[in-house]
Amino acid sequence: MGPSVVVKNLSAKYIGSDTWTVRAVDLQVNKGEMVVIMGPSGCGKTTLFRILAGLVPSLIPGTVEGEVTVEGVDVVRAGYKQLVGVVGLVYQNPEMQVITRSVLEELAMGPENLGLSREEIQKRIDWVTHVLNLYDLLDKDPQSLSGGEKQLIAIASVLTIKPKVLLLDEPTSMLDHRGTRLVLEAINQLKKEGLTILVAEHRVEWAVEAADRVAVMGRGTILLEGKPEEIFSRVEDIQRYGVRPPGIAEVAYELRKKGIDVPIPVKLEDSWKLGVGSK
Amino acid sequence: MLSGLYIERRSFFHSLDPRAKLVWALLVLAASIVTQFNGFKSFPIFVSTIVALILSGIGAGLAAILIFNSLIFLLITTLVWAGMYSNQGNMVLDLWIIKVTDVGLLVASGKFFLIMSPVFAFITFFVTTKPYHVSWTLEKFRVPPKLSTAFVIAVSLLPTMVKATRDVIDVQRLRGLALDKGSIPERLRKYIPIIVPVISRLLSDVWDLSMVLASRYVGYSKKRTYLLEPKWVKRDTLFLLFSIIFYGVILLWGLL
Repeated sequence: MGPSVVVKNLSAKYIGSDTWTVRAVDLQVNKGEMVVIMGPSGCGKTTLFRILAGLVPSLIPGTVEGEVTVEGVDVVRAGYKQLVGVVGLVYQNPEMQVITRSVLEELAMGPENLGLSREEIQKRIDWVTHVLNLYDLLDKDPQSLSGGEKQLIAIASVLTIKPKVLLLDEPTSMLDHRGTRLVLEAINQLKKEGLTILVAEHRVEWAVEAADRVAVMGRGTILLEGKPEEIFSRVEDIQRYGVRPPGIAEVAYELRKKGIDVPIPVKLEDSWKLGVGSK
Repeated sequence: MLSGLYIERRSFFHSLDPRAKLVWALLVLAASIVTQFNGFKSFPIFVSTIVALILSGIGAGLAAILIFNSLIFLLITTLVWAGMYSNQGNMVLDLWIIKVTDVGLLVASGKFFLIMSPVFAFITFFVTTKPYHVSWTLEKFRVPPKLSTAFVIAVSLLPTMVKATRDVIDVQRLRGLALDKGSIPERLRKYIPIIVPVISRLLSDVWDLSMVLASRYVGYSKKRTYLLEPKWVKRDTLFLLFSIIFYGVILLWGLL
């Protein structure tokens, strides 16, 4: 599978700002991969996603340097309107993404705006309803849904435009535990559908299980990148970059600091290694 | 975020085709304009909008609040317009500087119904029609899709604006802002710490909303598809015919 997203030496800043929000970012995401991007607030994750979605600079004025292609399209030159069926972006706040008075209207909105036929719109709604198991929500007023359900509908309404790459900008940051579980399960399901997914997310334990690769961002640039096991075992590094490591890795790290030589597992199911490795 | 004015109910007006309802509201407006100088002729229009409010299922309580609030406006228009026609017709009330004649009363009530009847009619329209169908109806009346979407969003943001204002007032009151104390200029000045945060919050909300609309490709196609189109039925034809006859008669009467 070739690359779906290619970012080379990307730097960007907003109009009127002297500070580069994104600096010299290099990133490649292959088709069907899920990459989780982690980092403290203000590290440039949202700006990176906005650029990938073609919003900067075509809708949000700014300076973008470097090369950014998504599914072969130069997103900076093309602008967001040319990215129909290429990229879809889901935002953080579910309240602002639900804008109609019926779940069905919400799901239909994107394809309707594209002027697709009614048959095609219905087909897409049926597909997304099946993939995300939205059958119980279809006839409800989105205003009455929980935060997690609203975010699920927001994801579904972006999916009906059939993007090849899905960007999710901290989709669970405003949700409670139940809502978070709902959304993360949905993302897992979408990964099985073969979608290329980039998620900005703080839930480390989930990222360890679900991500193919993890990138840690800080001060506008990518500081670490690799498989979850490689990244999250570097406890001191990721703590310094403002990312909380998995709980089990933190335990192992503390044991190491006390002089107990143990490996650093990143998944809970590997916690048995702590007993085997200790002296 | 966009709760809009629509209230989910099962009512006669909810079941009508939005095109029939919009034509009805426009007939109310036209008839109100033609009869604006004679409250006697525009009174039946006003009554018809009250009936519509009741038939829209929004509840007698809410209808009563709307009517009660409009009576304050009636008082103001009576004083203003009756005063302007105080030298025409027979004196009905002569109280110090307030002079009201029968002609003045007719004009005052006509002007009152000119504003309130269309207001009630369009409230009924928006309360009983989903924003989705309002947008569809406007496009059927040849309004460009971007414009109809913008209009629907603007109307849908009204409750958001009211809620934002209430929230800011509550917060500022908790911080010691006393809106009901002081002279009138002082009280007006006290609204600055309310207006500024409300505008700031609304601008932020509208910015977020514009990002969402961009991601849903609003305005992408010149002709938007509608998956859930209403179906015109016999009841809509009868309602429309009745409206045309009723308001048509009043229009002719007003022109005589």
